[in-house]
Amino acid sequence: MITQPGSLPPSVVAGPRTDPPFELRVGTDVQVIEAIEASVRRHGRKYLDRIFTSQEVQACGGYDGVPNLLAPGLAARFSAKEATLKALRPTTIMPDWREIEVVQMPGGWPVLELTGDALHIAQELGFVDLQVSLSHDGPVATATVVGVVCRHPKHHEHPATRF
Amino acid sequence: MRDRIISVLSAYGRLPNPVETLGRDDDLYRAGLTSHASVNVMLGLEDEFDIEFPDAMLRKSTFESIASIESALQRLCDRSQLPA
Repeated sequence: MITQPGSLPPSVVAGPRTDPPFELRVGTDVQVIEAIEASVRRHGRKYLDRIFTSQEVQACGGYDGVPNLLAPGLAARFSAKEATLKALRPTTIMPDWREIEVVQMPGGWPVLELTGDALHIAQELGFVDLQVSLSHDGPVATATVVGVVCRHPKHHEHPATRF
Repeated sequence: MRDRIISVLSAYGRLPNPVETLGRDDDLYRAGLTSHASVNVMLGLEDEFDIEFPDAMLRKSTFESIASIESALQRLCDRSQLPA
């Protein structure tokens, strides 16, 4: 359909309409890599164990890795956890950091795996998909998470069990 | 206890302004405390007070003010003094 210059397309004109069956949620975050490196140096294994799963640490170089080499991957993963929280928007329960896990697929791309309270929140809200993208360059690492929430009650009866 | 909390916040909080300028109930997140810095504050408090925050206390609200940190530490210290 062609609209007149200056006029709005029908989809954004106010009036009776039904809500779309899906809602998009986006979260984004940025971390300073140097701050993550400083935490690894200062708190060591205690820091790693409170924030990251063993699989995440291994993917970044392992527990014996040199902090400045571990830090970019860890910073990107911390960003992904924070970006996921921004997409989930938890109100009462705050998930454990380790319940939001970045898993690297054999092809190299990352996916999110939620467990515990994080999975419960996503299910309660009707999330049917969550995707993540990571990047780091120079002093910073960043992540963006996009989630799809289904508003149809049927999906709440049979929630997604895995992200 | 308050002085030790302020000392940990100064060392780990990466706040843009001196912690000493903050009131007891001021919102630390509004004052510039990031999620990652709050993790470092938590670990710093654990070292300073020789305690461990249980998962149930790892809430954003636990670290939102000097008063809330003080309250959480008081509960943990009281608990650690109970007989096993």
